[in-house]
Amino acid sequence: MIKLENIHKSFGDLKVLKGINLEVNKGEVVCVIGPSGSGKSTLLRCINHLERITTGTITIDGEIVDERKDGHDLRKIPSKQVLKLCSEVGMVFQRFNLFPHMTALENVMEAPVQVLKLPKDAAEQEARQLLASVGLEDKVDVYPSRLSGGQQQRVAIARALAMKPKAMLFDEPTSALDPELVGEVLEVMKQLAHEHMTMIVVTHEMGFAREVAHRVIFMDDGVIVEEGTPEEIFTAPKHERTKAFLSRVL
Amino acid sequence: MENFFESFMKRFPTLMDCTRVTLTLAFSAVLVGMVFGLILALARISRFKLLRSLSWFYIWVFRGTPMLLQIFLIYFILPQISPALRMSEYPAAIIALGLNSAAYLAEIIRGAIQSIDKGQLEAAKALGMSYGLTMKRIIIPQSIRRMIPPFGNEFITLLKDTSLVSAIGLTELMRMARQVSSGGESWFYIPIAAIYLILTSLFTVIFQKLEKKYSIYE
Ligand SMILES: Nc1ncnc2c1ncn2[C@@H]1O[C@H](COP(=O)(O)OP(=O)(O)OP(=O)(O)O)[C@@H](O)[C@H]1O
Ligand SMILES: [Mg+2]
Repeated sequence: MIKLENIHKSFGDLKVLKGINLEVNKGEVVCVIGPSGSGKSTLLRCINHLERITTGTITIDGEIVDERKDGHDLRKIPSKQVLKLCSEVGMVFQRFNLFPHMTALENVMEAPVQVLKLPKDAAEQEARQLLASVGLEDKVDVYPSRLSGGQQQRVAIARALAMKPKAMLFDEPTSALDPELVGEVLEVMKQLAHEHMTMIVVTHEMGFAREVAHRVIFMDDGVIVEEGTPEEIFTAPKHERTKAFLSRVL
Repeated sequence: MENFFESFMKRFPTLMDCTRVTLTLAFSAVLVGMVFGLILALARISRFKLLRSLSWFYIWVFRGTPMLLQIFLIYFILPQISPALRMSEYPAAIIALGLNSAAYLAEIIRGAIQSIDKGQLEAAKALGMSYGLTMKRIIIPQSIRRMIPPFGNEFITLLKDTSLVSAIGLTELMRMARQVSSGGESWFYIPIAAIYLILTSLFTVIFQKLEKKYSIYE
């Protein structure tokens, strides 16, 4: 589904990703853990073109979406195509990034109407269903500023799902939330996992990773240090760095 | 006193006409300024260096030279370069005022656009929205509320600056005041000042209301 080959990313002289190889299968839930600054966000952002990789190849659903070497394209991908590819991979941000001038419903309808050119009433019906599925049927006409963080994040998930993405990327979706609101968002994500959505989740919620992930990846300093089932990573980590990290967070 | 009142009433219709001219000038100029200012602002934040430089240069020139000089340049100098550029007072005044306010409005628009959280651009991009669509649907609507207060200030400045075009012979409020007072009735500056004051106060209130209206989602 998503295949990353030899991904490198630098910001100027700062090497942030140093040769990442990762393949995520259809319907698989992969959790990415690791210390701050290890490049987890950057990795997700590269997958849907919010950052351009320096070197490497990204394939989504059999289609090469980026192929670069030392900052140069090895393959010219028209910007229209890039946008389409972006919209096929949903992204949920730590800070929600809802559109504040639109109600919950309008937030969810925006891209289907403007990008997919869906008729308004069809888009609205779908948006209402999506909002209901994340437990917000009574908040459709509310502006984001009047919603709690947990509710905002659930709207953001519904908004991403409205584009019928092939995969969903979550960048610490619960880190900006008050502890009592974390559960409701994780619940929605679990539901998605049960529906066999392909997901890459950067998270500090080890409980969630243990329960939902098919595979856990530990990243440090721009490389994947260790990967395995939650069992393997959490109960029998092989690398010193993994052990040290887990002993700090668990 | 009786005299003043009679003289004032006699001139009242002309006074209203001149008020209308002043308002028309201000509105037309701000419209030109808004459209052109938006283009300049988008050029100023564009990916293309040439567009950025051109826009920067324009803003630098128009903010760095006196408005009166710009008016003269357009009304007197352009026709000497080419007769095709000869304009009557009205269009010349609107263009001069509009081009000037475009430079100021461009900076206001650019500031408002750049004050919008980068996360908004990213969220839109992740949903597959193009740059143009993102500007139109996400960034510009949000910038509008932030633009309203400085935009209001700029409009009020422009309203007062319309008085400068009296210098090319357009009869608006200021020119009327000068004409009447040169006929010996210099008290006439006072009602003119009152009208400017009423207009600027009125628009101050209108812009405050607008700002409130656009804050519903905050
Ligand atoms: N746009 C950028 N320009 C320059 N440096 C950047 C940029 N984005 C990220 N970095 C740097 O890249 C490194 C990795 O950042 P990244 O956000 O991917 O880490 P992370 O693993 O997500 O950390 P956290 O857990 O704190 O979110 C950091 O050193 C960061 O300062
Ligand atoms: Mg991060």
